[in-house]
Amino acid sequence: MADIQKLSEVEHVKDASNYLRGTLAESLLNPITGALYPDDTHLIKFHGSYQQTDRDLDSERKRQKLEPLYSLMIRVRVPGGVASAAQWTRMDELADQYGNGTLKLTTRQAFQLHGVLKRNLKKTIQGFNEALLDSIAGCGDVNRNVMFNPNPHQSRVHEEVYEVSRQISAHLTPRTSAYWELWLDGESKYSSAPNEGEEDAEPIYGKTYLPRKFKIALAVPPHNDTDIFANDLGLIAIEENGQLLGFNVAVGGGMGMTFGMPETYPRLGSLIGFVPAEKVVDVCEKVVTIQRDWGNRENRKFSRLKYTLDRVGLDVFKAELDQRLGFVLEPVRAYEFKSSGDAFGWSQGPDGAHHLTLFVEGGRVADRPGSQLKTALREIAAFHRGDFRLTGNQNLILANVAPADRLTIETILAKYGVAVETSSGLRRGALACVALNTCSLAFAEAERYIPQLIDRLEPILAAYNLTNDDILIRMTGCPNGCARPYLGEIGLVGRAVGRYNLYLGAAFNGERMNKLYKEMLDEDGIVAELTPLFADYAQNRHPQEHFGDFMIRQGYVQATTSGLNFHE
Amino acid sequence: MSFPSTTLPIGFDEATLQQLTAGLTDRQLLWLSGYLYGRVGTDATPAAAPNPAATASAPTLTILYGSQTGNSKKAAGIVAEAARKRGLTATVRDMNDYPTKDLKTEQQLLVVVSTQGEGDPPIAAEELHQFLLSTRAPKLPELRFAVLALGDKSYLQFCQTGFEFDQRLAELGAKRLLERVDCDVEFEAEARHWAEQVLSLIAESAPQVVAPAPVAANAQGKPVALQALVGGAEVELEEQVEYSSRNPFEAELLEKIQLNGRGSTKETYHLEFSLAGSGIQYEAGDALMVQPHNRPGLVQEVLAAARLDATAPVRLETSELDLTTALTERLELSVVTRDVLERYAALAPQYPKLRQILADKAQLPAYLYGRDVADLLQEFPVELSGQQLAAVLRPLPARAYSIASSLLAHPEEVHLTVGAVRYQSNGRHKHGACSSFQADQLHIGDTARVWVDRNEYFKLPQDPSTDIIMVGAGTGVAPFRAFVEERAETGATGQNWLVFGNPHFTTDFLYQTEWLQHLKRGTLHQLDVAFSRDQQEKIYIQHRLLQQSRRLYDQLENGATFYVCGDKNRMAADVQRALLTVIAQESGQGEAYAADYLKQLRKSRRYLEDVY
Repeated sequence: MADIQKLSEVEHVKDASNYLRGTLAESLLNPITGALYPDDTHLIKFHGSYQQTDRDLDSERKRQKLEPLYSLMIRVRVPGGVASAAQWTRMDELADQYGNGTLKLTTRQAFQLHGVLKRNLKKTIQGFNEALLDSIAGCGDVNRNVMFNPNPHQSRVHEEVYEVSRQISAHLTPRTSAYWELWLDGESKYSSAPNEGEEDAEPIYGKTYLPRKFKIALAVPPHNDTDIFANDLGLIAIEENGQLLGFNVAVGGGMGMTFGMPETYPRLGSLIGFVPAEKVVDVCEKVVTIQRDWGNRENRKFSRLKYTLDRVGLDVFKAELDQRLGFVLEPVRAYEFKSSGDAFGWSQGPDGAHHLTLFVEGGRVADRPGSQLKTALREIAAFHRGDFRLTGNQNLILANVAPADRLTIETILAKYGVAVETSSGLRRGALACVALNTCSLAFAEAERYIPQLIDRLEPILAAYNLTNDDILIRMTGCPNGCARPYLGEIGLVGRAVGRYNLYLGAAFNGERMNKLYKEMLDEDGIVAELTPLFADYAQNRHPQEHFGDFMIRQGYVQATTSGLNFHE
Repeated sequence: MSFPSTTLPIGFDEATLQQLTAGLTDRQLLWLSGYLYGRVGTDATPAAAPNPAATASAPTLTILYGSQTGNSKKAAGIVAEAARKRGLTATVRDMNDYPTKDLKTEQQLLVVVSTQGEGDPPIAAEELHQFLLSTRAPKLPELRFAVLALGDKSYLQFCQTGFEFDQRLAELGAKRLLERVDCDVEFEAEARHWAEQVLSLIAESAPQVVAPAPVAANAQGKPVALQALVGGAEVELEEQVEYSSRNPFEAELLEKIQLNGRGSTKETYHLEFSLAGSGIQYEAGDALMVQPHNRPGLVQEVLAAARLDATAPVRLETSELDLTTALTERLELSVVTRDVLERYAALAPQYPKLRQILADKAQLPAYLYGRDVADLLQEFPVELSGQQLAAVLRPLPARAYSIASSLLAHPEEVHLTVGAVRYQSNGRHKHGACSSFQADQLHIGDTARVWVDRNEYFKLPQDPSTDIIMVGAGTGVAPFRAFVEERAETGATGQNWLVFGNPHFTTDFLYQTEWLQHLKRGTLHQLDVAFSRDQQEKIYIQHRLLQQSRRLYDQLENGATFYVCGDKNRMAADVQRALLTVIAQESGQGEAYAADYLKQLRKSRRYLEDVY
């Protein structure tokens, strides 16, 4: 363990927090500021919330002698991305009542509400709870929302894997009663109440939890739509004749890095073996505990599992895991991923049920002039008997639609101007993080800006007859990687307002990261750089060859084969 | 300066006097005369007895004032100064400290009293007023009196308190020396004129006194420095320019900030004016008078409604100017008051409705509310000349704003907190004359005509260790910014407690970051906030006071001074009620006790209001 003197500030805060309580109760009641006390801003993350300010207004309000417009972003966990129509309706209401009137579907299949004022936070969380949703561990140094392919029509194996993802999520949920106590008034009517007489304890995490966030995703090949290699722990379902056998285990993925610090880098998970389905929860627990014990708690920039792994070596890690498990992982089984995106439009499952995958630009469910997606979905939720499934690509599946409802749904979508088929392959595969104006880390725009950039690129694609080609473009406002930009065939990472680094050459199926091509491009620069690449691709690609692969074959960039050569 | 040698009494000779007063200026001598008179009052027993020689030959003259903002006190000073110049001995007394039993010993009484709001006496005059109007009031057949009433013509019950004093004294058998004079906001000239008239009547009946009489002391016998009575701080002994409505200072606007965040229903400005080169001094609690211009749009509407030529020449007092300038800079357009309506009605006999409106006192305020001169001209069109219009209208008054800054914290600057008044009425957009002048017309680098209006009573406690409780809603927070800055600068050790209210936390928390800084630095000790519209049930300042009941009562018991600033109608009364509840509850002695407790607080000037 690290010398206590050197522990990062957050470690001290966690240690003193009495299982995530800190002074949150007092912070919430303090009426003269919209902010929490500084230490509590770390703890609130474990409860699913980030304190943010409206950065568009920061300097204006400073002049007005007003503090920044503080608000809270709240992330609601949806394991596997599956929400009921009733849950959708509740989230829609809460967004209007306490949020900024929009719902964000995240790249990790969670709901986000933005702009919730401190005084409304408790009422909002109680609102989730009444719909059997929670925000605990939405953020913070714990296991986050467990991702899984939400595509219900794929196979019967899908249902089994979804069940596994729920078990993992439940097993790794923090046990502290602080959440129940702070947000639900400690009322026993709520299901999350601890058993009587039970003391707070965290058998898996301990009282200082993990050194950093921890992410788990599961996927059923050939779809890698949860980008499992971008996670600390990725699980690839292996089936045989429609039977789930178990999972290939990949460890040490993670997207974040810091500009100017080449010793930080994005890394894809390393496959270390196969585990039978009934032992997979145990594997998850043991990987988490190794990271709990070995992870760096002095410098949060090096705390993720990927750095732990590269520091000790994969073999040492694997040996420790085998020892903690009491058995040895089997060799990795064969699998094949073909894509990481979503397939849009209607589809039908083996049971005859209908599903509709809707494109949600930037994952933002909002009413905009010409397209009132939020209202349309609210109307659909009123009668839809299936569920709402959030994809890892910020899109939405209306699943298990009764055949009789299909026409009604289409009519409602048409009435509110929601297109089922979208304009270009580039746009429908695009991912963007929230960035400005609420994310405190952002250097540049992302979600608010990328539609505009694509508006400029679409005519160029059309000129080269590439409109219908799926090209993955991903944009983030900073290098921390929320929209998995290093897995974009075109990755744009914000350096400063209006300036982006351009990365090229990632694999379409999420198995290879991209590499830096040009730095500090403004919009004209991005367009000018991409135009000849599109031209070349249109003219010289092989049949079925993806844009990222083509970039490497033509030598625009070298292939990135591991995190350690990302910067080369 | 030489002394009139013929009347030197009780053993003084001229040489001794010259020696004692060598090197003193006239103004210093003047001050000394009052001071020495006061010394007699304090040193001698039992009370400040006037010179027996004087009383033997002349009836006593008392100038009795009842003041809320200090204007009546100032007017009393003007009268006293005029009396002194005539060689009349006068005693100046404050109604606040005036034992009612003294009334029947008065011989000549000059009453100067203002009226508050809708016809109420100033707090300082309450007790005497109540006594005088009651059946306990003695017959006063020996008394000769006159009343100078101060008020504001925009209020319906204009000079009501003065009227009541005047009428009641006559009823009690006193002889009226002179018809009562009612002064509007600009009172100085009329006060001087009244003083001359009434004092010449008094002088005629009094034996001649050759030496100028000293200005007298107040009831406690403490000396009253002359300059304090005539309206200035000590600096005025120096040859300082006195800025006033007739001689305003052109202050440059250095900074202007909209204090409300986006989406607010309020529009509040923080304005910083430069006083550089003016030598203007003010204290926390004082007000700044700002002389507005009318909105160009309103001037155009008035010209159009009156069908008058914008360039028509008009004569105002001694100056000749064009109608547009007169309407923009000199005449009130945004408000119609009763006197304006009366004069207009006289020009428009063809409208019986106008006479009906004026006759129905109960309906009049409702009619006047929200009406401007353009409304009046549109509703009752008449043929009139520019000169006639000018004669109907009243002078465009300056507006007073509680100063929001401390000179110690901001040397040579004065800051204001101005809420833009805008509303819809009679189918037209209306804008408060002075607030919209500052909000819309005055830009950084422009100058505005300003002068200081001293608020005699709304001041920090003399003792820096006294706790203060400041209760303000909306722009009512302005003087408290000045108070807290002042107490921070002077290192006052008393607790500073602010209770602030406005509609919304995120947009209307005026000066939020400054208060947070003061809290951090320990120059503000407690901050309670009430944002009325942030939750379903409306929460106002008074609810916070009730919640803090114990703390509030303890501080009052500990000698704290309680300040209220802001809206008179909607806030001050609620705050007072809450305070009564707190006192009744925490003392455990019931409502009557609380009422008396509050009355004592008011009398000892520990409950102070700056409401509008």
